[in-house]
Amino acid sequence: MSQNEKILEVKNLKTYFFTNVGVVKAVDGGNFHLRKGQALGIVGESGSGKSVTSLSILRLVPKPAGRIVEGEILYRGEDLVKKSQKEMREYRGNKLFMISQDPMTSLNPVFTIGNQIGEAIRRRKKLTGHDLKEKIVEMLKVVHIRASETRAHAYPHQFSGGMKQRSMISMALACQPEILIADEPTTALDVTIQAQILKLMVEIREQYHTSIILITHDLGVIARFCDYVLVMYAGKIVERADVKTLFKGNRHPYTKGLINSLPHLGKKQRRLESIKGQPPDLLNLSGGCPFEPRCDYSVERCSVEYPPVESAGKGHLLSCWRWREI
Amino acid sequence: MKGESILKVNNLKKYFSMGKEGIFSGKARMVKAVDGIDFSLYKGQTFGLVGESGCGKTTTGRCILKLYGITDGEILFQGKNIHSFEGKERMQYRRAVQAVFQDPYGSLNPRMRVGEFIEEPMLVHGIFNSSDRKKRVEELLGVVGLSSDHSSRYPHEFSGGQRQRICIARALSLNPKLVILDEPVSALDVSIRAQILNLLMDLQEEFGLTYLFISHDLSVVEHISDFVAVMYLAKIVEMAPCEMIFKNPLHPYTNALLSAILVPDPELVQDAIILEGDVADPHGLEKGCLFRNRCFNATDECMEKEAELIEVEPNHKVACLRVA
Amino acid sequence: MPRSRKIWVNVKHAPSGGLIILLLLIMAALFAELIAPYSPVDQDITKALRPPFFLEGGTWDHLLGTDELGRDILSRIIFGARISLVVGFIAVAISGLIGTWLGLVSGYFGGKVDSVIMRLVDIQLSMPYILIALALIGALGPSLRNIIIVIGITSWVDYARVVRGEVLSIKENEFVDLAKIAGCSTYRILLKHIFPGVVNSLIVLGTLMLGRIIIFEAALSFLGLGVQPPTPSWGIMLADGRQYLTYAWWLATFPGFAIMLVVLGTNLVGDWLRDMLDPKQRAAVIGKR
Repeated sequence: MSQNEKILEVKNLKTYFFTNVGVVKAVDGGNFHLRKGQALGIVGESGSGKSVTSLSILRLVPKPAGRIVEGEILYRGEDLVKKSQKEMREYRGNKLFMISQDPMTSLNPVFTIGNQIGEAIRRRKKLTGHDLKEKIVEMLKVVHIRASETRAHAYPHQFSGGMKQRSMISMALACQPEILIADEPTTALDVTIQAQILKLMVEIREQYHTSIILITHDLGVIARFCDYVLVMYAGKIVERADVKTLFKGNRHPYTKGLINSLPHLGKKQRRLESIKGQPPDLLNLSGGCPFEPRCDYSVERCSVEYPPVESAGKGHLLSCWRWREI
Repeated sequence: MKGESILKVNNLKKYFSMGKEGIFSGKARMVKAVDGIDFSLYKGQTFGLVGESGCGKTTTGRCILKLYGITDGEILFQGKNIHSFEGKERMQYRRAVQAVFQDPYGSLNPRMRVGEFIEEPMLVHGIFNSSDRKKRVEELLGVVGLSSDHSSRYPHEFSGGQRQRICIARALSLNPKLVILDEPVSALDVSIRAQILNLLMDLQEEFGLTYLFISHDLSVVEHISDFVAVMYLAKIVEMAPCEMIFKNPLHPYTNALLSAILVPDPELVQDAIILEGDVADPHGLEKGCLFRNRCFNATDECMEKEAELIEVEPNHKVACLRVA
Repeated sequence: MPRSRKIWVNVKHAPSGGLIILLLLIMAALFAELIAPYSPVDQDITKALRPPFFLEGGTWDHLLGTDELGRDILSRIIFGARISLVVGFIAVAISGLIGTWLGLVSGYFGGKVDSVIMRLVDIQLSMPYILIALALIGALGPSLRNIIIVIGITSWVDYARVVRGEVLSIKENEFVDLAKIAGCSTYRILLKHIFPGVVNSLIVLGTLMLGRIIIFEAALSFLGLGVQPPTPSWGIMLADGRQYLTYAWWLATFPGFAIMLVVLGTNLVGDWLRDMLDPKQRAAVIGKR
């Protein structure tokens, strides 16, 4: 098993939502892969399709409106799209784990934290009694929850936001998944707590070689945590590259606009460069590039035809008619 | 550099009573949301109030807006105590101090047309007749970058960024002197934030507005503020002109806060000071510095004595025994 | 979306059945004199206890049969609709007014006012409504006017609770704070900002309460506390028909059916209104964003 093998390959993923007023193409042709031990970042704003991508991988797309209409999601060669829900249950919580923005909805308020972590542990190992208790305490210590013996008997509502997230990570670790999907894991947390959680995730990656898909709108988190990044806009992956190239050598107008619009700590400017216009209306997309109405470089072709994927360097792909001239 | 003082806060305290200490106790459990803070706002300036959740920054804003009464201290508007206002003075204060809040979805009444919403403050204060009000609404919509035919629409037809513009238009309708901005861009998409921040800064210049900018996002605060105060657990721990705080932070909490910010630059080597534990519960920290259990610099003295906010260099105040 | 699924969605959410029933009720109440074949009080002992037209011995003259005094059941049911509707609408209005106002005040001001009003609610709920009705009717005397009053002043509780709940959640919105900051008076805030958010729930509740109140009226009349004979109320018809259940079941069954249909109708319409007026639910129904 080579260290850099591809463990997840997503090919031409299309996840659409069928509503009475039209079809929302939440993910429209997603192509990417994830290697062992890699930290993949998916960045995008509301409506970009980043969360739906993770739900698609886990086959948790809300029915009946949502459906994966096309594409393959190959986890170690097995196509997850073709699996039944029963088969997916074997994968979820085992090989694939997800932590989301609000742990309050993932943690069961009626059971103690220790109980829930114990449940996660027992999926992997048949431990009981004293051994189980020890393992639970160990898992809590790994995520730096102090006074773990007493904390194990606490209920979720007695924990702060940061501690809840750490409990979720602890559960994730207990399952020892190969892929951990973290959907906006720190968005609801304070800055100093966010730093703690991210440090923890870095430790996990190093120790367990877990691959992590980190979904967020926060470019700072992406810059510090990810190896490789996908930028999504209105269901399409508009640019992808390794993290350095994405920040220093990006070529897509949206990526440029996004990064340039951020206030940079330590570099006070008079005015921020902003992207004009409004977020896309997913029900009324033209057949062309969805970013066209807000793009400073658009030409007529952009509103008519969606640009093909082209390579701008090693591992650097993007879709834009005019990237060479910008 | 300092112009006229618009607002002065002296030893402001706001305590909330939540339930009882114990089941049988007669004493109410006090949550000290704001525990003795002082600062001044000067005309045309932006004062940034930063801190994490529970530090008291939002409560401070709400006290200034008279949405809460205060437990102790005073708030002076142009020299007069705002709680001593009667009748006409009260209404004048309402004209002079406005707000923009974080949630663009909760800030607009879903059953009111946008034009009616922007017009309401004028209607309430009895200024202008109906047709002049309509004209002013159109004017305001233009000022915030929306079109006049938006005034007959309902909020659900607008995006988050547009809703914030509508809120800003309403806030401006009475030509206020001071606008309290409580996390005005935190709930917006990243690509929209810059638009709104630019708009706020342009409006400040054009109309000579004073802003109290409350936020947890330090990069944004650095960009927009002239003066900054850092709050932790109901107190101000450091206060200085913007550049000074960001270039030369003195309080350990400010340092930790700044180092925790993730700069969107993958090549920058950052040594984050990772604070242990969560934002503390002040219960159990009766004596001494409230930050001591997370502070990497704490000494025995910090356990006993609480630090006062002292000016350690011109305009730069810090509340830390190790720094003084 | 497959066509069959689209049709199902529309049928499930169409209140047409309910609306038709309510329309029939209103028609009957308004135009009873024109629609009913006979007067509801015309007695003819010779024609007593005739069965409905589909049974042996029944005729087309009296579609639903006659009661023990020879009165036409169908006509009495049609005129009974008037009673039910009058009581229904007026009582809904009275209880709605009382309950909404108390709910608004309770929810918006909180504190002691809230405690007092909620205690009133508790007290009212702990007393069985039949007892209250008995006591009040005993004091005031049984009549149409009096049962409207009785029902009106005992049904306010649901409104108060629902309105209070809505007010509590509306209060949390920033636009209420912004209204205060703009200098709006409490009256204006309640009228323009709080109340409009409550209206939807009120409409839904009112529709559902209509059904309940009609049953309440029927129950009181059944007990002899309400409308007095010979005025035809569905409740009285039930009471009269009880003794004949074994051999002349149509006396009680058809009025019973009428009550059931009307309540079903109001419930269907109420549910549909709830879906349509709640923007989130409505989105699920018609797929708006």
